[in-house]
Amino acid sequence: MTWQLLMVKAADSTFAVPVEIIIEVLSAVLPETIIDQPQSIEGLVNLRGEIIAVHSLRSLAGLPRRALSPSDRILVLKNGSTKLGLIADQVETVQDFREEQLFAQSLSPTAFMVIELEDRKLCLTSLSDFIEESEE
Amino acid sequence: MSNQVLIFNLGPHRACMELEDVVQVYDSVSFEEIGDVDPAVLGMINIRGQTVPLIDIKPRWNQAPRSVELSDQIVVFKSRGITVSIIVDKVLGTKTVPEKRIVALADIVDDSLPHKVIATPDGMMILLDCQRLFSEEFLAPFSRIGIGKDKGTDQEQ
Repeated sequence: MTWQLLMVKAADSTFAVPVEIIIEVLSAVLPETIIDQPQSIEGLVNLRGEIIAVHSLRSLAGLPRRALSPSDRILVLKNGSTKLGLIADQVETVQDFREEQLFAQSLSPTAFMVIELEDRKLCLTSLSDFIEESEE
Repeated sequence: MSNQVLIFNLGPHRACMELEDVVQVYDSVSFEEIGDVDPAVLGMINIRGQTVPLIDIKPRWNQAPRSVELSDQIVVFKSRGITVSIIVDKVLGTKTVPEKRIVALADIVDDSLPHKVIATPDGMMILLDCQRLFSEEFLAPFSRIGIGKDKGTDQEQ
């Protein structure tokens, strides 16, 4: 079994997003804040007439928050009918991982976490859990 | 199906409400400050003999509260059967919005959010749900003493 993962960064940490949930990657735009905005989102953006909620990878990972930078990127993710944006500091490359490579990576102290989208909720999943889920 | 909305600016944000909920729009007027109420309540205004609370919703948009300026405008509307008013920077006008362009925030953000959003060519505007803009607890003190209630309603009680 192989996985294609897009590697992204927030602060100095690396995360991976399965390519099958990525619709597109955009240059960062400042999200529009809303009344009574929940802490979980950064705001909304108008994506060619479609409004989507935008989250921050830094917030999701509990990393220090900072103001939006022009070099930031918004990943548009979709799972079923759910579509949302995720702000990352940096988008790197798509990498192919075989199961044994991912397993070896999961044992590393610098193992990255995988970003998954369940209903409207973004979650960080450890590599070992991600491999286990994929096998089910 | 379409909705007619009243559009206004609230700081850097554009918002609107269903025209059928709006009672009237006024230019900034003096208001009577009152103590012992939620800080969002700036005071009371008198509209043709009816006392109506004047409320600042900007802090709920993470904007710092600021003093009322002469250029501000006041939108009077009904919420949970009570006449209330909010201070806005500027009323821009009315517009008819097709139903298909209106999306519930509950569908894209959080089930607890009652308001909606409308995509516009230059971004978006929030369609405030007048009925659920304020909680029952927030409006209860006004309701108890008959503030914002129609005179006919007072007589019935």
